[in-house]
Amino acid sequence: MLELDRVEARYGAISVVRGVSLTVAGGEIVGLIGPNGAGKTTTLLTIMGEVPCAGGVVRLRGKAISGLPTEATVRRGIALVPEGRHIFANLTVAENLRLGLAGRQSRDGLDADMDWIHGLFPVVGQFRERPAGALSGGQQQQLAIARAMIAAPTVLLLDEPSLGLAPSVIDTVLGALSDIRARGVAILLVEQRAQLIAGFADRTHVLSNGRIRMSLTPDEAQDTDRMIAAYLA
Amino acid sequence: MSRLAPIRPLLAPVLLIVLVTLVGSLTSTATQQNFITALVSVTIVIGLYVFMGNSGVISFGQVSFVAIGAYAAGELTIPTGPKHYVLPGLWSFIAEHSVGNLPSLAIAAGLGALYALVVGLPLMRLSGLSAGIATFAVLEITYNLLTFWPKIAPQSGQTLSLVPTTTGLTQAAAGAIVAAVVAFAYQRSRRGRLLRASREDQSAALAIGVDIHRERLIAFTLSGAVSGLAGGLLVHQIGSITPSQVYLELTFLTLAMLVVGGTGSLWGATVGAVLVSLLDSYLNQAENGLHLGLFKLTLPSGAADLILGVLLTAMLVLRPRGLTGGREWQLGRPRVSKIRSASAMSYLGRGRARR
Amino acid sequence: MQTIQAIIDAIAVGALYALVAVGLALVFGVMRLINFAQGELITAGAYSLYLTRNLPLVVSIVVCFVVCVALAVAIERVAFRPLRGASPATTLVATFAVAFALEAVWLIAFTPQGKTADLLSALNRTATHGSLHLRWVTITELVAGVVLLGGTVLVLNRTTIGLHMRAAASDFRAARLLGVRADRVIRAAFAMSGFLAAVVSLLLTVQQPLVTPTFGLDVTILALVGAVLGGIDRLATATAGGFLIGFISSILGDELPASLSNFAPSFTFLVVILVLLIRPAGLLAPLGQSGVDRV
Repeated sequence: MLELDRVEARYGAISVVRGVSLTVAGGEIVGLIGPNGAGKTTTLLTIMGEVPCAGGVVRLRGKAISGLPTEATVRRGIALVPEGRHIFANLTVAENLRLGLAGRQSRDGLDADMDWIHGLFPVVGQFRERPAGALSGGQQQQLAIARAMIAAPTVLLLDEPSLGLAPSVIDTVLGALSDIRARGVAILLVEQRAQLIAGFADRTHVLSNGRIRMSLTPDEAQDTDRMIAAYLA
Repeated sequence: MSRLAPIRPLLAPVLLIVLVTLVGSLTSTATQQNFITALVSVTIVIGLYVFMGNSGVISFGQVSFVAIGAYAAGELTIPTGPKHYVLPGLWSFIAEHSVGNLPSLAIAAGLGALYALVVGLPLMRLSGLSAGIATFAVLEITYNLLTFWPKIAPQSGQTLSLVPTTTGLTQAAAGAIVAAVVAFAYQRSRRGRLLRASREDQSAALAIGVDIHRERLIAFTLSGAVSGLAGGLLVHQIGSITPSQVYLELTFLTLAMLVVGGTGSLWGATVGAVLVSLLDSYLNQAENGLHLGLFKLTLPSGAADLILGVLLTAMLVLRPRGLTGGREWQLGRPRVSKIRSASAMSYLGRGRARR
Repeated sequence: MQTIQAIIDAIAVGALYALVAVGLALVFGVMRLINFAQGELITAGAYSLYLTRNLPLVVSIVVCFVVCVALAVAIERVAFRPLRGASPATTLVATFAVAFALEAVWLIAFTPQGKTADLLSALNRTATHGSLHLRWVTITELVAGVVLLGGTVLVLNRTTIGLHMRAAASDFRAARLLGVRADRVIRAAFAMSGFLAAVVSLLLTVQQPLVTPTFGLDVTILALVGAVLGGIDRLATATAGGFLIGFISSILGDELPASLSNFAPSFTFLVVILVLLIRPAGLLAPLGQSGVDRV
């Protein structure tokens, strides 16, 4: 579904992503972990076209999409749940959801999708008319994922969805991701908490200094020594 | 060259000023005015740069200091005899004293500094848009008072005339060089460095104990002095002044000169002022017919401003960071490209999410 | 009675300034750009009224709207779109430069002499009620102000493009990451500001039918000052600020004794400075908010 082929990105003279290659198939969750400043967020922003792709190519269903502006990327079916959620605090929950429609290609099946999303995140229906800023952090995270799903993406990118959330809320979020995966969506999940993801994802890549140092299966991910070695590499 | 390295940022602007002066001295008397105007513009724009370039805060009020300098220098150099006649309502202190050219320039600079200090004392607490609007309010008030207060200026915005025309090429060049030296000395001083640090990162500067209010006030006062001096040069160039000559259009033009040159450097201020001022002068001259070798170019009235406006827009679109990119002159030195934001976090975090 | 008259007049002037302030705030909201060229839109509308003075009134008015909206959108496309992301000082000077160039166009096309556009001069007739004399234009200004402000709020709150504009105003990057199209949102903001400028030029030509190249400049500058005074980053506070400054300057112009009336601008701007010193983020901004650190 989504394929990164030796993708590079830089800020000014500083190279941040240096030839990252990975694939995410439909119905798959791929984890991307690594220390601060490894280039995880930049990788996601490069996929979105928010940071220019300085080398290599990003493909969606075999077609190159690097070079497209962000808005067009979203319309092709890639949604990002950004770090810090970026909920519009002064808009209501319902309005935040409606914004997700901006990236949706057609209205076909919207009602069914809405029902499914409300089933997945009851919170979103419960507080429809509240300003989104009044929600708790966990509720905002659910709203952000719900908003991304309104666009009916084929690929979902998430940037540190667990940040600042209580363990029980993290379980809810991960549960929802499993349901989304079951729908055939390709999920690329960026996290700093390695142990959280490595067991959950179908495959986990360790990013450090802009390169993929290691790729782990769920079984290998339990091997703490290898993980530490990868981080320190 | 290495011994010159520390003063290189001063050398380039001074050389440009000297070049403008030399070229100007070879032209006819009428054309020479364009070069004098360019040199006076350099002085005004350096005045603007001393504050805006170092603090990063926009000011629409700088031309008020030019205005104060111009009126002070003008009124004080008109001989007392005719002064009573042309300026009947003037404050008796100004009416009864007259000074020579150089003292009048010194007084212009001093009054410019004093006015900036008084205004800046409360206003330098502001930043961003509110600072812009507040300094604009100062410009409006200055304009209003100079138009309607007969104790300080001719009645109802009439022309202040009979001012001795003592600003020739040499004096204009000297003034511009003085301005450049002052600006350079300030930006290299400890005070100037502190202010520039606060421009780059306000919270970091606050955290290491920089008193931003005080540093901005110092720069503002200094820029008031340079602007006042420029006003003195201006009035002695034209021989007369009206409030509308030191109002919106001059404010816009001098801001455009600074931004087109590059807000962050003395070199940018000088280049922008020389270029835009000469362009403006020649375009205006062309409206009355400009001889270009064999051709005589005559533009319709208003075309000069149109061309200038379009060219300025084009320059800004093509070089948003100014012609010099806000750098000092760097001939023969490797260029270090500036990294604006090195992390993805700051890249994303710039959007304002209010909670 | 005279006081009531002065107050009603001042409210009408305030409504006019509020409309200009709304146009400025809409563009500022999505682009963080102070559009000085807004005044030139008003001037353009007024000149179009002059040019079409012999056509039927309806045609003339429609042309005025088309001219203002088209010019607003064109300015954005040509001058401001390439400058997205440039420093505030650069974009600000660019809006100056555009205004400067347009003013020169008016000068070349129409000469500095005023051109008379008095299509709606019928509105200058007065409606008398007791000892109260109201010009129809005063009433029109009030109605237009209320209707257009209401309309703007409706567009922002009830339409998709309005929702996108509000989202873009609070976090442009996040809105784009959701697929909100930046170009479309910004174009919409400029088109709306052009629409409002057309209304302002219609109303302003009733009060001062003589159109000069600087016709729209003064009202724009004062409205901008008012918008910042109220708080330009919110539509409501910017509007209220615009209204307030129009109201105050009208009252000061009417009520100051003759010896001081020349100094009305000084008083107005002194008040502006005092307000900014006390409330840098705007008179009506929520408590504790610091100034918009832009420009």
